[in-house]
Amino acid sequence: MNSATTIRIKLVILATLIGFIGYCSAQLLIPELEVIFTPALNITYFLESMRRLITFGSILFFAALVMVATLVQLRRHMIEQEAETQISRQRRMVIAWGIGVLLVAVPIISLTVYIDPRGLYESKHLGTYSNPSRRFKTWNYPLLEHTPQIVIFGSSRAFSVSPEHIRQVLGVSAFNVAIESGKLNDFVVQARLILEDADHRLPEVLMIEVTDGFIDNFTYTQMVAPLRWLRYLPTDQAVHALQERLNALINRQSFAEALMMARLYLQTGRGLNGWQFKADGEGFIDWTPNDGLVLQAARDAIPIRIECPQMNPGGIVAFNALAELAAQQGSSIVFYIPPPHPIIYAANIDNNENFERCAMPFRDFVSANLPKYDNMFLLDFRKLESIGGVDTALGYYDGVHMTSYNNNLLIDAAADTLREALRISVEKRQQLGLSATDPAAESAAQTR
Amino acid sequence: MPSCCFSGLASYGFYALSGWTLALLLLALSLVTLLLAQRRSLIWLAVLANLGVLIFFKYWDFGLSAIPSLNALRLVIPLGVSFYVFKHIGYLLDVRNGRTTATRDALAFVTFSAFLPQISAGPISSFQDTGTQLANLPTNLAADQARRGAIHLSVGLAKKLLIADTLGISLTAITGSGELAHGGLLLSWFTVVLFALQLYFDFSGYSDIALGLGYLFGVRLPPNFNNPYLARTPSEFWQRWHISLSQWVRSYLFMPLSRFLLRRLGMARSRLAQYISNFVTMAVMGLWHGATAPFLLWGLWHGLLLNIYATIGITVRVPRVLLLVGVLIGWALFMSPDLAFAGALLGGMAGVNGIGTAVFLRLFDPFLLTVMLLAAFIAFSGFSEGEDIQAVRFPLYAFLLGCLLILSLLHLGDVKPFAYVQF
Repeated sequence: MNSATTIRIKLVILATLIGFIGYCSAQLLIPELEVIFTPALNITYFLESMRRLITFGSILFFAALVMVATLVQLRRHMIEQEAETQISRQRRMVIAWGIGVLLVAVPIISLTVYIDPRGLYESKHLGTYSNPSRRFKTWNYPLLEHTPQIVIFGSSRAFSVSPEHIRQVLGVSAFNVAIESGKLNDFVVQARLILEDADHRLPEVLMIEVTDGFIDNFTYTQMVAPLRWLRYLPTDQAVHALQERLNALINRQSFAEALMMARLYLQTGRGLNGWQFKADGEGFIDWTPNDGLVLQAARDAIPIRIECPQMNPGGIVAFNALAELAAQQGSSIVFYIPPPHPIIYAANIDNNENFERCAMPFRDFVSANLPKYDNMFLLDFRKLESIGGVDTALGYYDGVHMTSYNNNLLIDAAADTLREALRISVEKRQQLGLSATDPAAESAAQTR
Repeated sequence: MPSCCFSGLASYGFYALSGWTLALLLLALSLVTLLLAQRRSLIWLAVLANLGVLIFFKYWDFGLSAIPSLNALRLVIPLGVSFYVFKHIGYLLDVRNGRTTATRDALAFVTFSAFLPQISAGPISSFQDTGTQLANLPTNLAADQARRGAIHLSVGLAKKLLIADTLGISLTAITGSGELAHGGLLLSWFTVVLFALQLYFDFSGYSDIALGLGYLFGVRLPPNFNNPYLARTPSEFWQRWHISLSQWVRSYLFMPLSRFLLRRLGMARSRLAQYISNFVTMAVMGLWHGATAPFLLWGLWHGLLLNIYATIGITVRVPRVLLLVGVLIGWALFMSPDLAFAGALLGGMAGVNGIGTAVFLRLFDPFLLTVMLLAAFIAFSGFSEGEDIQAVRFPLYAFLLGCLLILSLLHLGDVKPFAYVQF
């Protein structure tokens, strides 16, 4: 075979390969594009398809560049052998490369920062895709004129604890600062932030929802901590939090989320319909069904643990920090364990024979330490009967998130303890020579 | 501040991120090497010191693995220890053999030892080349070096973040599924091809990034890859795959060993000398990757391939695809954590578990197959290295490579560690 025949055969093979790859690519791309442009947006499918499209499109682009290089190689005269000597052309290529970098990077970064799907850049133009509570509550708490007398800390399980119901039952002001995936280390940061605002007082009662397994974990905190939190985080965590922001500027996941939010706003003029918050921090969902599938999924997700876990050292540090802050401020702390759906509780026991005996190290730790503190309480509401709640859609959004109906019953069950905590706090503040948190609090306490 | 000083500080600063004691160890070893190289009679002592560090850190854990009660004595393997020790030994042997003179430029030498772009996983360069460049760094970066650096970075990041890591996710899923233990012909070959592509794009991507960073520091590092899967013979494969390590073992092990054996056995038995040299060299190459039986077997397998081709290749033109099959069998050993896994995988490739269509179709992913096809297209294009790409000198092409860099960086959040950093 002469060289011309060889080149022709190579070109035929190349064309066949490119055609086959093109066919496979089209088979992959068309369904993904259908998912992205379908009128009914499914967030999970959209994000998955967008991620695959970004990756696959980038690989196709790379392959196309290599193909161009290969074709150029076949036409050797187009490669300038003497180019090393042409400094001006070298510079033009570096500049062109830089323009290419900027031309892709700037729109991606701008869109990500403007839409801010994870609320990392304090951009207030649109709602967030995730974690609206950390931003919302960090912005809204300082707007209060006075420090409320009771503040609810916790995770999303405490979102629907109603400050309004607390006011009705106990006659005191309240605010809900519960945040998604809230943990003890988050509450320490939040307590320090509260001390900065209004009259530089902690509330009289810190009502803290705790769930074992949610004791301390900086990974999530550093991913989503609002900028105002950074100065209260340990230095390494604050650095990580800044790194997370830097990484998210050019990131496939955050870019896909930004595109999804952009599409949602263009299509509906509003953001996601997840947790929404009232001005006093109470959260509610107006769409999640309490169907069997949600419960089954939650039940299936429970890991099988047969060992007795130890109390996390980071949790002990955070517990001590909270206790110290409360002692300095004459505040009381009421820890409470909310009841999961009875089906989930039963699954915990089924999956873990040690669950009732030793699987809740935080509860055991606090129980053991209660005698040391006269301003600290622990309410164990693990069983739904303890609050007289209901296990239907009226009482639960899903396997672990109670509606305000059940949470109101929880507040009713906790009312006596909260009153005692308020009384102790007023006494302690008088001993410490501290004023009450709220100008109206003195009279309210006397009324009680 | 001289540029070499900046490069040295940046290199040791980067290395100290893996542990400041490890950075001190590297600095101490490079100073010992530098000092002992001044006296010809002490050079073997310096070689022993370097080998001692390599063996102690790299093979200590292997020794301990036989004694579970001593697990507490396991050590952290210093980042890139195999690579910097080989650079030191290469320098010492060059000085001893008169190929270079012992340097007194301590700054250039310690910077050479820890040079940031190549410290993690090579390429293994000689002091005459890299050290001399470091000692004579220009104050300003030349436009040509900036262009080469930018293009190598774009290509390297695309190889690593777009292709290697995408293939790596699927590879982890398949190997973690447990199906390979009794996988059929289809799944076994598919997995090994997947591994071959993933490893190539991972390591050659790393090498392109290293070359790109080297250019941005003002240093031209030797290329490590040259379209290896286009090789026709095993010796050509080793001139195209991990070139710097191949050249190192050729210069400092294969050649001296061949000469020694020729002297002992005589020219009449030169073929036998070549066979033994090939086996020993490739066995050492295998053990360099780790003290495990599969790595040793992988090395010996390549020794066997070299010897077979040395015997028949002179008279018979062996089809390229046969070499590819041989290389893939080698990768099956290379990717195996132990002999049991290697046996199961090779058995599957031999068809002892049947074709296994059902299992294969259950794990089959059209997305993965298309990405593999694209990866194979790039790998077999003959134009997949940064050195090839930078030969295209259109500003528009450079512009598109700049776009590619950001598209690759979008995937940085999902990055996996470079495969060769563990060695």
